[in-house]
Amino acid sequence: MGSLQYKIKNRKKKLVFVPFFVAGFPDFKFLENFIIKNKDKIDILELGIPFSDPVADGPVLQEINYRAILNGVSLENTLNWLKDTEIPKVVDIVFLLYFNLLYDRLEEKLQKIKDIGVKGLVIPDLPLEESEALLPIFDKYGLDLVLFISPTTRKERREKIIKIAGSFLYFVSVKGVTGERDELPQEGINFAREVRMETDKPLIWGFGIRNKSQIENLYGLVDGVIVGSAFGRKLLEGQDLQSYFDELYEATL
Amino acid sequence: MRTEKLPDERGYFGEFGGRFVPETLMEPLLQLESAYYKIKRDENFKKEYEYYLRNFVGRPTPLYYASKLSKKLKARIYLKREDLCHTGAHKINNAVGQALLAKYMNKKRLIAETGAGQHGVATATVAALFDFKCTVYMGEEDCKRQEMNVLRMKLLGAEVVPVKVGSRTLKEAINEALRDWVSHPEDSYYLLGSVVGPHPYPMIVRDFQRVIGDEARKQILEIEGRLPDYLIASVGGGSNSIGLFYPFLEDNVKIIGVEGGGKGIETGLHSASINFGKVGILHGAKMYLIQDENGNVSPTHSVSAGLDYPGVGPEHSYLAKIGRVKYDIATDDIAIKGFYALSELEGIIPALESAHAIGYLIEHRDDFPEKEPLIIVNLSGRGDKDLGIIYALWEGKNG
Ligand SMILES: Cc1ncc(COP(=O)(O)O)c(C=O)c1O
Repeated sequence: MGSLQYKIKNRKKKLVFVPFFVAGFPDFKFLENFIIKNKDKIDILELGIPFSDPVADGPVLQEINYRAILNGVSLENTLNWLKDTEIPKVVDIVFLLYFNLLYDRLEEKLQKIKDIGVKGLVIPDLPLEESEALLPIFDKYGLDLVLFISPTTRKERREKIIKIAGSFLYFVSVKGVTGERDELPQEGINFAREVRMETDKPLIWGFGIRNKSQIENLYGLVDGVIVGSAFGRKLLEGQDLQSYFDELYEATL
Repeated sequence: MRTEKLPDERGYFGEFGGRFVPETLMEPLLQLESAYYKIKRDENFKKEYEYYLRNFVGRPTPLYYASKLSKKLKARIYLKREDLCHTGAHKINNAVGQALLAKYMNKKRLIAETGAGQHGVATATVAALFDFKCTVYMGEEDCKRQEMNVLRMKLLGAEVVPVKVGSRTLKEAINEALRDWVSHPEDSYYLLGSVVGPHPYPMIVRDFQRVIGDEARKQILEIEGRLPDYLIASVGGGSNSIGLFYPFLEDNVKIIGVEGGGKGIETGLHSASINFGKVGILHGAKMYLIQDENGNVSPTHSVSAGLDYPGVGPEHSYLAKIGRVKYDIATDDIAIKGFYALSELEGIIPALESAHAIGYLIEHRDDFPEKEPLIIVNLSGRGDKDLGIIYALWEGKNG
C-alpha cells in the first residue's frame, strides 16, 4: 500500500481535503505563502502544470491555465520553484498534467519530479488503455498513477482500473468538464455507492464542489474531496481565499 | 508496404494515434468503434451511403483534364473535382457517412468543429437532411474570415458557437467540441471532420473519404490506361489527402502532401506540422505537433483556415515517418498564385486549401524529373468561401 493510501485510510477526519491549484497562479510567491500557511489543513495538494489545451477543464481552469502560461509557468520552473520551498517537505503533492507536457524526455522528467518529492501523477488524458504500457516506467520512479473513474465507466472497465490504480481513484462525479456546480449530482452519488461496493481503494470525489453542504453530503460515501475551480474563481476575481478555504476545509473534519 | 491493416486494434498507425482522452469519453469511443465495425459489414448501410453519395452529394466527381495548366507546365494534370460535391468540398463525403452512423446509433444531436467552415456546413447539411439537432464550434477568427459559411450553417438550422479563447481557430474549436461531447456523451454524436482525434476517428474519416481515391484510380485507368506518376493534395488535418492517397499506397505512385507554409517557415507563422513539428499528443492522438519546448501547443498560421491546425492525422505522421509519402510545404503566397492560376487558366476557382496543392505544383514542376509526368491533384473544394480574403488582398494592394 502506498503512503498516500495509508494516509487516506487512516485519516482521523471525515474526508481528506485535496485543494487543487495551478502552479504559478496568481504567482509562485502567493501560492508558496498560502500553502505553507495552510500546510496542516492540506491532506494532499494537487498541483496543476498549465497546458495550452486543457480539454477536460471548464472555463475557470481554462482561463487560469491560459494566464499561467502567459506568466511563463512550465513544468521546469515549477520544479525549480518547489525545490527552493519547504512545500514538498511539509505537504504531500500530486501533479496534474496533460500528457503532452510529460511525453518528450519522459523519464528525465519523471526523475526530476521524483527527486522533488512529488508522490503521484494525475494525467487527465491518459486512460487505462494508454497507461498500461507506461505503468512500469511510473513505477520505476516510484510515482503513483492516479486513474479516473467516471459515470460512463462500465463495470468490467472499472474492475481493470481498480486493479492497476495507484493510491486512490479520482472519482469524476459528473459527465462533463471541471467547474463548480450548485448541487451534488444524484447520478454521481448513486454511482459512488455502486463503486464503493466494488473496492476499498480510496475514492476521492472531484468536479463541481463549491460549498460546505455538498461536502457534508459526501460523508461516508467517499474518502476525500478535491476542490479546484471554486478556489480558482476566488483567485481570478481577486477575492479573499483564506476564509472560504477554511470553511470548506472545516467541512471535511 | 503494408498499410491496409492499420490502425491496429489499439488505434495505432505505427507509433502514432491511440486514444488520449478523458476517461468519460472512453466508453463513447468504444461504442462508436463497435457500431462502426458493425455497419461497415452491413449491406444496407453500404447501399444507403452510396445512395446519398450519388444522389445527394453528386458522385462520382469528374477526374478532369486541366489542359491549359498541363500545357503550361508540360505535364498531364488531372483534377479530382471534389469542388463539385454538394456544399462545395470533400467534407460532405465524411459527413454523410458519419451522420448515417449516428442515426444507426440512435443519437439525436450532432456536434462538430470547423475551421474553414466547410465541415461545419457539411455537418449542418446532413443534420438538416437526417433530422438531427446540430451545434458547430468555430473559432472566432475563422468566423470572421469565413463569414459566408457561418451564414450557411445558420440557414441550415445549426447553432454556431464562436470560440473565443486562444488563437480562436480550429484547434480551439476541437477543444470545445470535445468538452461538449464529454458533457453529453449519451445523446450526442461527435462528427469529427478530419483524420485527427482519438481512435476510431482517423480510421472512420479515412474510410468515408477513400471514395475520392477509389474513384480517381478507376478513372485514371479508364482515361489514361495507367496509374499516375504523382498524387498531390493539401494537408490540414489530412482528410482530403488521405482520401485520395489511401487506395494508391500499395502502388508504384509518388505521393506528395502539401502543408501550409504560411508566411514562411522562418517567420514561425505556418502550419507545417510534419515538416516542422515534433511528436506530441493533442486532441486524443499522438502525431506530429507544432509545440514549444515546454510541450504547449504553438500558435499556427495559414491564409486558409482549413490548413491552420498545429497537428496532422496519425496516419499521415506514420506515412511520413516510413517515407511512403513526401510532405512538403506551400506558403500563403504560393497558394494565392495557385488560386489565380487555376481561376484564370481553367475557369475553376479553387478553395485556398486546394490552391496550396496547385501552387505547389506550379512552383515545383521543375523538381519532377519526368518529361511529361501524369499527375492527379486533389481539388478538395471550391473557392467561393474565400472571395472575402482575396478581395481584402486586392484592396490592400490597390488601396
Ligand atoms: C476545401 C478544403 N480542403 C482541404 C481542407 C483541409 O482539411 P483536410 O486536410 O482534412 O482535407 C479543408 C478544411 O476545411 C477544406 O475545406
